[in-house]
Amino acid sequence: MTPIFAVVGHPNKGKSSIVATLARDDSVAISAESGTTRENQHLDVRVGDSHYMLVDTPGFQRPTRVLNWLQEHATTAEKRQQAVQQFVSNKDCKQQFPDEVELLTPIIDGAAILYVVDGSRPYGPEYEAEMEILRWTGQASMALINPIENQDHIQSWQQALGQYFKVVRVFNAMQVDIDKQHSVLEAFSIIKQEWHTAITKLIDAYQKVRTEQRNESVQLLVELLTTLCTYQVSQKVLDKNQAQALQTALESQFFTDMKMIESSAHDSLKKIYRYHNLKSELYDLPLDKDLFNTEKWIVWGLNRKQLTVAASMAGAAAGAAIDLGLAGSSLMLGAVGGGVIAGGSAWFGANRIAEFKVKGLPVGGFEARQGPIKNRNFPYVVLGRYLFLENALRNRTHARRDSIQISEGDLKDRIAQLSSSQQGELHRSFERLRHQKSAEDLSAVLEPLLGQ
Amino acid sequence: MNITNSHRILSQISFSLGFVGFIVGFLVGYGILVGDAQGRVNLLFLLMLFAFLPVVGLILSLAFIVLGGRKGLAGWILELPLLPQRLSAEIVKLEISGNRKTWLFYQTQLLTLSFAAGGLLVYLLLLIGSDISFVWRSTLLEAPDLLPALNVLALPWSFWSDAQPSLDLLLQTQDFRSGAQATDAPLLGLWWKYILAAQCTYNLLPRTVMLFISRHRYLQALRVKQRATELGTEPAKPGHSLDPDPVLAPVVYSVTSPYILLDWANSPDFCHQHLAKVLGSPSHILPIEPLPLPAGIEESFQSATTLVLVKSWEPPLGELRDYLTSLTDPSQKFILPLDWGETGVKPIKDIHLQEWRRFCSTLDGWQLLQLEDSP
Repeated sequence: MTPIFAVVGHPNKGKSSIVATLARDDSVAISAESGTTRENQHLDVRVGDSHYMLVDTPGFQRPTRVLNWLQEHATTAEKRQQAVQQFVSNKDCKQQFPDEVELLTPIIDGAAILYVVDGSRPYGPEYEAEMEILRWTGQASMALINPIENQDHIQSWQQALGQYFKVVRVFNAMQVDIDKQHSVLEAFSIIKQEWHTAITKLIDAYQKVRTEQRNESVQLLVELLTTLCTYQVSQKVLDKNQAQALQTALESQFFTDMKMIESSAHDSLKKIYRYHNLKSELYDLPLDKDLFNTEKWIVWGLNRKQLTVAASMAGAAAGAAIDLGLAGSSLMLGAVGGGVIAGGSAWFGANRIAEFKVKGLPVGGFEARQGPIKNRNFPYVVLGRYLFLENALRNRTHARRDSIQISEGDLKDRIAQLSSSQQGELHRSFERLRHQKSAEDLSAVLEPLLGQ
Repeated sequence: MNITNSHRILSQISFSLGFVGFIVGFLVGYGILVGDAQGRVNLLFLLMLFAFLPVVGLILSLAFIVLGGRKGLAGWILELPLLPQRLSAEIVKLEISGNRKTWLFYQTQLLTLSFAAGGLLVYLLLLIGSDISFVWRSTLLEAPDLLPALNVLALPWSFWSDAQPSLDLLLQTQDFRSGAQATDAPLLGLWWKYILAAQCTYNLLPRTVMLFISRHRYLQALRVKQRATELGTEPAKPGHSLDPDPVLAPVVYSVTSPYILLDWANSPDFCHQHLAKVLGSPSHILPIEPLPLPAGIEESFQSATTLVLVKSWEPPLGELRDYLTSLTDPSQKFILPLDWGETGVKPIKDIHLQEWRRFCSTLDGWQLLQLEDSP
């Protein structure tokens, strides 16, 4: 059985905010203008293999008149629920009270009630009619006090709501933590026994999703760090002058690309936490200005040093074959000699090789290159910014619409909380990345830095 | 760098590794098979190279699969400072997708298969182009000691009788450097089938299977990553459409006396006092129940200004609209949204004012009033 919750209340008291927070989806429209929700918005909230429905309803518009109508049609308590059913299906009522018919329909169909009020404003008797109507539906219900501006009037609301609802909770849609969100669902597993299994499964699924989000965040961080630390742009040209002329263009491309790579990773992180519309602001990465160099390349993209190593290995292998042919009686002189001769020839003859031409084209030339980054602190800056964003996303609700100003945050404190061996692993991994080498198990090294 | 370019670079690395493996296999095979000055090759060394080492390598590979894999032989080779930076950066990027180990395992299989192919080719070439004499030498082992081990090795190709070892053949091909040597030259070449079968069974065939398995695992990991990427790019849901340029009623700051105050908000006394101070005292103050209209008041509306006091923070409901539109008689009609706290009147929030101005613009004959000297 799929749990369904209808979020109801006065217009503009944070119903849509509560829906966005519970659904963990910032694409739910929230407006400061009242009456923007004119029809029920059904949200199928999928959590792993489980799901439940949230219905964002229009606000009450004419509760006093509706209650009058209901009272005229039900004189005794046992007829109240039936009267609400009549009201919902009555043609005249649909014309006169379209908002109330719309919001009561899912409730009559079996949805539980989440009644939302603003705890920052005083309680008023004008709310009693709508609370009474909801009581007449006979459905499982809970009141949520959403303190939109402050908490000044929570107590008076609790006293009033307690007379109409079995469960009353303070639920700040902008700040509520994950445990409190789960507690709302858990309460319904008690109030509405037939949903107990489904809600228990949902809460388990939420925990699983949370773990998956964390793992995906770590993986994305590994991706970001390795990409940024190894990124470079290069172009091969015929001579050194041509290579140097490319400096400005390559620098510009490099800086733009680095910025785009980081922003793109941050956007992916937002999607992991189901933020589709969240904006964030980021100051420029501290990139070194002296990352440009022109390097002579020889053949097949190998530089002088690489060519020498390759030639030495090939020479040594050929010499070793001769040694084997002589059943070791050459005392490995073939391997040693072959390596030295071939390596020496490559080192000293590199320039001549570069000048060789095949069909009129030189096999050698120059490579203009920008990057990769050399700054020792660079991976820490990237890490700090990513962790700041990840922490903000994890502790934020989907009802908020303000942007995030990303900074390096509390990276030092987080690193200080690691054990000395973990800190050592982190520093070694970053050094390897800085030297364009892969860092083994970087995920495991970074994982402890993410909060729980 | 796009996927096609990355794929091309990784293919180049694979080809290079395959080439290196093949050449090394060829050279090492040649080095062993060329034998001594008389062209004699130690059978036990050959078995070491073509059967024992491949089996050990295979066991290590299988262990890596079970244990989750390490970087393997290809990983060690690629760590050498030999690759151009753009190629090594591409390998580092494999870590990003979590496919680095799978790819390196695949490359290790490619490398060892190429090595096996190189060794096999040189073996076949030498069989055709020279007379290899297979002999065996041992200080400790005798032919009867060796035969059971060779028989076990030959079990997989037991259907091939010509490639089976025999005690007679072992006795005939035992070599002693001190002089007592095997002399029956045609017998010395008979081991070639055994060695070929050993190479194919323990080296070529398992490495081919391992190559296919590792390639399958790598491609599967790529597909999973691709699928995850596709799933992660779900489009955002469209929001509600709001009027980007709503009509707002103008705000007025004074009313003509006398006026009737309809207190829709059930406001406290200090609000009334504040109104009296700013606008003058009302002729009537009526706490309104939503409907019906208070009896006996309608006559007064015809000549008086009507002022409806509402809570600024509560959005205008349909009930209020119904009530206001039912008041057709008064000559001047004002809505006054007011905000107050525990002790006094407060300035109205701009967001609330905008809400009431929007509402007022939809009503005929109603104006929105604000108090000029509100705190």
